[in-house]
Amino acid sequence: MRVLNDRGLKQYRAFLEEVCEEGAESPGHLLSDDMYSKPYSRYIDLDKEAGFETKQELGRYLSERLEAAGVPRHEAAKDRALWASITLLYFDQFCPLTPDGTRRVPQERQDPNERYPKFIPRIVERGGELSLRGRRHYALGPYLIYEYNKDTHHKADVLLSGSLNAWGDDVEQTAGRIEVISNMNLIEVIRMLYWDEDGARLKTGYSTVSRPGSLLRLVGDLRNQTKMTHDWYSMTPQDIYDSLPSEYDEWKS
Amino acid sequence: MTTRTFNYTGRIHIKQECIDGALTERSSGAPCLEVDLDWSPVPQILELPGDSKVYVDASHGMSFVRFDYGTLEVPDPPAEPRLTDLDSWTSADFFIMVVDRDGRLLAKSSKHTVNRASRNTSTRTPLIDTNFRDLGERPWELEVREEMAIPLLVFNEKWWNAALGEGVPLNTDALAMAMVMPNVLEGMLKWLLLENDWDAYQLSDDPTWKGAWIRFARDLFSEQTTLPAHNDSGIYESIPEILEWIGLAVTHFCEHHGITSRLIGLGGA
Repeated sequence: MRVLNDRGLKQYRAFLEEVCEEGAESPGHLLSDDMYSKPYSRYIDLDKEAGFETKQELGRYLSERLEAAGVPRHEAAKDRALWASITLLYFDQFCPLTPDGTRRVPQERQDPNERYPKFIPRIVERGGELSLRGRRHYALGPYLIYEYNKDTHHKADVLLSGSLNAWGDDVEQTAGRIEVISNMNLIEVIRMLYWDEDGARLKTGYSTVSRPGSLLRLVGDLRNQTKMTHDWYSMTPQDIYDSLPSEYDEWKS
Repeated sequence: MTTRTFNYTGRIHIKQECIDGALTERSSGAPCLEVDLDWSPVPQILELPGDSKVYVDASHGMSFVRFDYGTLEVPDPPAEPRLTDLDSWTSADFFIMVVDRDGRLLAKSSKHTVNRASRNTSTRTPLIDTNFRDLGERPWELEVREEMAIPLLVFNEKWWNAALGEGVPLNTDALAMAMVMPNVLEGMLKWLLLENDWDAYQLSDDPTWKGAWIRFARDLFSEQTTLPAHNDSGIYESIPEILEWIGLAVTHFCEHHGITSRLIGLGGA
C-alpha cells in the first residue's frame, strides 16, 4: 500500500475539481509515482482489484487488513493520506461512471477546509490535536462503524448496507455520532426497528424525516432527550425497544 | 436579578470536587485514565440505591470507551483503565455517571478533560497568539473556537503592515496592545463563561488555554476570590453576577497595568 504525499493530495484534489465530473479516468498512477506517493509505514496488503457490494464488506475488509498490518484504529483514524489513498485506489467504486460517461462528484462547496470530504477526510483540530472527521468519508466512515461493531452478531449490517456510493443522510447522521456507533445496544435497536429480515434490506421510509419514528429522530432528538434521564449503553436492546414512544409502534410491526 | 433555573430531570449533579482524574503513563501502550471518586461533597449520592452502577465514559473525537467502576455500595475500579480504544493517547474528555439497574440516570458530572501534558495546572500556558488579515475597516477582532489550539488576536492587515513600516510590530506595540487587551480579556471571559457556559471553578483546573485564561483572571484579584461556579444543576444561577465578576477582572487588569496612564504617557491622549 502506498499513500499520497502532499503533492499527491493536491493532484488528487485537482482531479476531483477539474475533470472528474467529465468522466475522466481516476489518477491511480499517483499511487505508484514516487513524486506523488510513498510506501506506507507498514505493509498493508490491499488488493486493488477487490470489489465491494456493500459498505459493510468494505468496512470488514479494511478492518481486517489494517489489523493484519498491525495498524491500530487510533493511529489509522488520524491518517488523512491513508484514507484519501484508499478512495483513490477504489475510485470507480466510490464514484462510478454514469451511463452518459460522466461522474457525480459529491462535494461541500461551502466548506472552506475541504471541498471533497467524501474522498479526502476533513481535518479537525481539537484541544491542539489534529484528528479526522470520518462521518463524511466514503472509506473512513464504514471502517469506524465496522470497527465499533465487529464483535456483535450483526456487525452493523444495517447501517453499512448499500453500495459504497450510496451515502444518505442516515449514514452521516449515525456515522457522525460517536454515541450512536459505539452503542451496540442502540445499533441492535435500529436493526429491530428498520431492518426487513426477509428482504434483507432497510424498510421503505426508514430515513424519511417527516415520517414519525424515523431513524434520524431516533438517533437525534429522541436520543438527546432520553440521555437526560436514561443511559442506553446500560439498557438491553429489548428494554430500549420497549421504552420507545408510540410513534415507533408502526415500525415494530 | 437572579435567574431561576429548574432541574426537571431530577438527576443529581456530580460536582467537580468529587472527581480526581488524570492520565497516567505506562511503560508501553496507551495511558490509563485513573479516576478517584469521593462522594462526600454531594452526600445525596450516597442515598441512592447501593446497587446503582458507576461508569466513567471517556471519549475523544470519534472514539469512546466506557469503564465500569462497580456500584455505589461496592466500588470496583478497573485495574488497568487503558485508553487503547481512544483516538488520542494524550488527552481525553470524560463524564461520571450513576445509573440504576433499569438504566435510569441518577447522577452525572459535567465534562472533564484530562491531558497527558501535566497535572500541574500552574504550568504557564500561552493565552493568545496574534495574526493579521483583511478586516475592512475593523481594526482587530478576537477569533476563538473550542477546537483551536490557541485563540487568535487578529489585526487588520493594513494596520499591521503600517505598523511594520514604522518598525514596530503591533503585537509589541505597547500603545496598541494597551488599547486592545482589556477588550480581549472581557471577550475571552464572556466567551468561556457565558457563550459556552463553562464552570469557571472547574475550568480553572484545565491545562489548556481555556483554564489558563481563568487562572489569569483569578490572579488579577488582589485577595482570594471565589470563582463563579455552577449550582447543583450544573448551570450558573445569576448571569448578572458573572458579568459583574468579568467586569471586575477587567478593572483589575487595567489597574494592574495602569492602562489609561500608559495611554496618556505613550501619546494616546
